[in-house]
Amino acid sequence: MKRLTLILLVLALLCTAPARAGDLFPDVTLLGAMSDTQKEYLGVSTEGFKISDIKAEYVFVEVYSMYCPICQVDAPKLEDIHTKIGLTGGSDRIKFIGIGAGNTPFEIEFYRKKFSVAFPLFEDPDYIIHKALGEVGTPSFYLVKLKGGSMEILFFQEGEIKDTDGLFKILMDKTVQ
Amino acid sequence: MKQCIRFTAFMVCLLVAPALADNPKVYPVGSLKPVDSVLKVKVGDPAPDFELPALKGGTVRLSDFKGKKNVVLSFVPAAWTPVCSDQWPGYNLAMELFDQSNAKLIGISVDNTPTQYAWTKEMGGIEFTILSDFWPHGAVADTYGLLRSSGEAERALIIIDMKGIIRYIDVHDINLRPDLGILIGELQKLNQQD
Repeated sequence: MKRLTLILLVLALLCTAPARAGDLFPDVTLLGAMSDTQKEYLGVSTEGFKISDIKAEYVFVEVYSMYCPICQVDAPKLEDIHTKIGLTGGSDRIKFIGIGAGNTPFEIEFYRKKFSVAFPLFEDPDYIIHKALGEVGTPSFYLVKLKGGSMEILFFQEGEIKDTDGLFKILMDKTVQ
Repeated sequence: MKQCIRFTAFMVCLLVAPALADNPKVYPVGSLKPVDSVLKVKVGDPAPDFELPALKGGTVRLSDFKGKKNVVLSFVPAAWTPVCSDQWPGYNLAMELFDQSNAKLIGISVDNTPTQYAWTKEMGGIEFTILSDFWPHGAVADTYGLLRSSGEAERALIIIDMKGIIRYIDVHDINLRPDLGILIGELQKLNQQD
């Protein structure tokens, strides 16, 4: 009985510890409305799919909130990096997604329009994905290796993007073989 | 056995509690009683008038907007606390949605003006009107039935139409942020009716 309690507590602690580089990214289900272009971008056919279903070698994940002032400041910087990755021919290799921690569909859509976010954003109104990630601060950024079914986190950053070019370089260095 | 499982479930709940604002300067308050006051107004009532000091200087009187604009009062519990520290930056980003509904957004907390000044600077600046309901302490919140026994205000949203009549009240669970979509939907409904 005591052992069961201990195991459950340890599991709870493991579940809530923030994922870092070298850890595996949880294969969470992504929910939210998507355009046909966005479905095509991620190589999925339906709304409601797992991260591992994304057809790419790598996925770059931003955990953000419409209500987070730093995320608001970072939004144009992230769009710049996303555009530059596309210009260097990397958009087939690395896909970008955003997960709105605690954000409702209305809030996701407002943020997408406000900052002209081109990559898909997914809702997480009840913090289910956020909890699976160990309740990281917003914004947080993950580069996840998908090829070979790896799900390994190659890069993790919590907090503001202070060096846009530096982050772009990290993404290129870690994904170009 | 059942007690052990209950204890474990309780610990799990504590560990996976909703995220707090990420700023280390934000004071962690833990989980609070969702609502701790009794409303003194209802939809359809004339909104009690008030005049309070504004963060940008001078004072603001509610009745000044009568016949000109709808008003949204956003009461938040206190500066430097979770949820409050992201609710207003979100509204600040979405000011255009309030403008589209001819609505004047007014934020009210029971903090004094210097505290509101430092807090809003830390949040990157807030453009909409912020009023201090500090002295007599929480008097406006109390008039509306929104003053908690601890001296903070409830997390509440009140829509007042151009005639000065209360059209919507949401005394929200203090631990949770209201969905912006619902608030904007209520404003849109108000404009369609008028």
